[in-house]
Amino acid sequence: MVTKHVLFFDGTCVSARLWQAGRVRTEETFLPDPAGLEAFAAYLVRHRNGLFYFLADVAEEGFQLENIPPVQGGDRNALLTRRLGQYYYGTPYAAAVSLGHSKKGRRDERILFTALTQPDAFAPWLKALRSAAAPLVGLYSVPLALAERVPAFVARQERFLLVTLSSAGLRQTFFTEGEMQFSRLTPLASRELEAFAIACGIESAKTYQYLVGQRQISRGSALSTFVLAHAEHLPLLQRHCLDSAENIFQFEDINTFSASIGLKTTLPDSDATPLLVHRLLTQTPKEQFAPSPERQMYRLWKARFSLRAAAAAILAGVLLFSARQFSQWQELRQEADALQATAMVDGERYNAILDGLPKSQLTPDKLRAVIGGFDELQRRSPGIEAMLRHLGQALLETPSIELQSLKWMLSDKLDTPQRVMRSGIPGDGSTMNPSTGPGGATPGGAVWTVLEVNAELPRSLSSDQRAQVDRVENLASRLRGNGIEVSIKSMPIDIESAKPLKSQPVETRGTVTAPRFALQLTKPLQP
Amino acid sequence: MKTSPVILTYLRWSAALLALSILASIGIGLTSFQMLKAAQQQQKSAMARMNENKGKLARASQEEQELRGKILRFQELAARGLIGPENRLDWVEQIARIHADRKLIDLQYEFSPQHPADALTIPGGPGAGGYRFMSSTQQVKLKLLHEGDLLNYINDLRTKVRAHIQVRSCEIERLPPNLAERGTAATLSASCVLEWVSLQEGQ
Repeated sequence: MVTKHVLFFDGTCVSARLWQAGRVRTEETFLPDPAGLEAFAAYLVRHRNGLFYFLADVAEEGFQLENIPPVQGGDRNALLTRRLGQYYYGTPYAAAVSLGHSKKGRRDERILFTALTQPDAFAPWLKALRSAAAPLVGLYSVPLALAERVPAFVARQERFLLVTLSSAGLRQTFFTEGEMQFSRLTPLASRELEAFAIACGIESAKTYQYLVGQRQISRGSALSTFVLAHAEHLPLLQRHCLDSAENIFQFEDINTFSASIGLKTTLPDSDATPLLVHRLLTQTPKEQFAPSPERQMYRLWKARFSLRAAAAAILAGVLLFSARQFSQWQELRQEADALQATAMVDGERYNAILDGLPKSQLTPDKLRAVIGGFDELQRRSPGIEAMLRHLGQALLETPSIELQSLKWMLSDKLDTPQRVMRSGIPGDGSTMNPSTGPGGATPGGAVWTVLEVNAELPRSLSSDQRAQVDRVENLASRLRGNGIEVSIKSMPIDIESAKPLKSQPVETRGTVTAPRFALQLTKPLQP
Repeated sequence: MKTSPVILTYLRWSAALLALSILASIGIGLTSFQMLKAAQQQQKSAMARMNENKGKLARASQEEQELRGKILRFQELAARGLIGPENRLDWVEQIARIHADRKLIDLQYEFSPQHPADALTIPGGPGAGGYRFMSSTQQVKLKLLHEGDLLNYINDLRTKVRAHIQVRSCEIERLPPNLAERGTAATLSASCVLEWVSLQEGQ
């Protein structure tokens, strides 16, 4: 946590005050002599990591109120700079405080031009700050600190005078409608309480006259004057500050007010310096007097702070992200461990069951593969009897047909069968197994048993082509069934339209040969 | 006071800190992300393994019966001599015995060298569970009194030889009648292709 130091300058000395969590503590006081400046430089080096606020409570200050046209941006800045140069030519410590826009007319902006008019008084202190490369947040005046927010106890007052005491003297600050208009410091020759009380009464009357002269208030109107002092000092002040037609005094306990704005330090007397310090740090004014070069180290400090904050934020963010990831990781690991334990227990129970099996040199998977392969081999090893028996049964019913040759085979592809229809039109392959692909390829490992039959019809039918065809088709139809498909590979007579049809040659007409035909029986193996 | 050196001096460590924190953040972020990913993978595989084991356990009773049956079948195959190297001498003796017992008229055969079983025998390839289905192709020609001789020959092979017999093809033709040896002469000739399949260890 960065420490904040307020360098309170009363026109002569600088008093360093440390502000920490609402408490104000006086650190050191430095005189404007070489020893004091040296001590001040050493102090700055010791606290090089802190931030410094320079708070001036000096009599040499100026206030000018002016309405400026409602301009914005660069034009406004140029106008304000020009006006400040005109009003306060000899000092770089000048500021323009906006008091808001007029509610009437062209809505002019009301500006309070204020300055610290004796820059030489600050020069050695600011030089020391520059030399020590101390980050100067700003150069403020007490009126600016007071102006930031009107105390609650005077909030209802349209115009009032606030009287405070510090080591610099008696300060009277005039407010109108909540805005600070003017402030005046009266150095006191003595630090006696009585001197403060007397000056309070006299200077209030003088300020009233000044304000009338400046037409800030109308002559004869009553002006409330609030005096901020220690409770024990109030009776004395009340004796010297007597109400008149123009001035009506009201007294406020400085500790009550301090507590109300969060100052945790109890003030021992009417000196409002700790209060002003606290006010400056808790409600730092937007405007300040130091020129830009004086604040370069502060800007660097802010840049450094931003870099460090960004680094910390990134790290914190990633650490949070990682913590969340780590938490999820732990949960997942625990879950995985639990699952593995369950899997192991189940695996052991499963293995125990398998261990009860007859001993085998093969793992279950290999055993399945071997037996599965052997099952497939057995499926593909049909006997030839079934097909022969089926043929024999059909031939018993057509005894005139004589077998010439048989060819039984196991095949995983079929030739496209031909089937000769009585109409003479070649078959469309309807007897082919639907699973047969083009060219007889068989997807899915389908296998058929095939029986090719070559046989003869009785010679007596050689002159009766119709009877030949009838007999062959009759046999084919008897053979169909029980999953067996039959195709006629060749007929005794070629009656297909796609083939030539010839009469019997003259030289063979005397010879009678038995009509021959060929059939093909196919039966798919059961999967 | 020169601006640039001051800025450099004042901000270098903070800038370095920021760069370091960015690098560290990337490192930490990536590491934690990868750790989480690995843990997710681990959890997923543990879950899969647990489900697999649960499934196996649930099927254990049924599987036990199945494996028991398969082990018995494997032992039976081994007992029948289907597993292991071929014993061609035994085959020759068995064929001779069948020839004699069945009084076959003529029997000529030829075995090819042993080879891995083809796709018509084992569609998935010869390898299975650390074993190979090997086959020896027998071309056999027989003279038959009737077709029953062929069927008996094949059935006898299937029951007696130490190999699995797969009939690939059989062609039977009628022979011209021999009137001189009526009743004892061959009426049919058969030509068959048989695969003698056995299981041998090694893929």
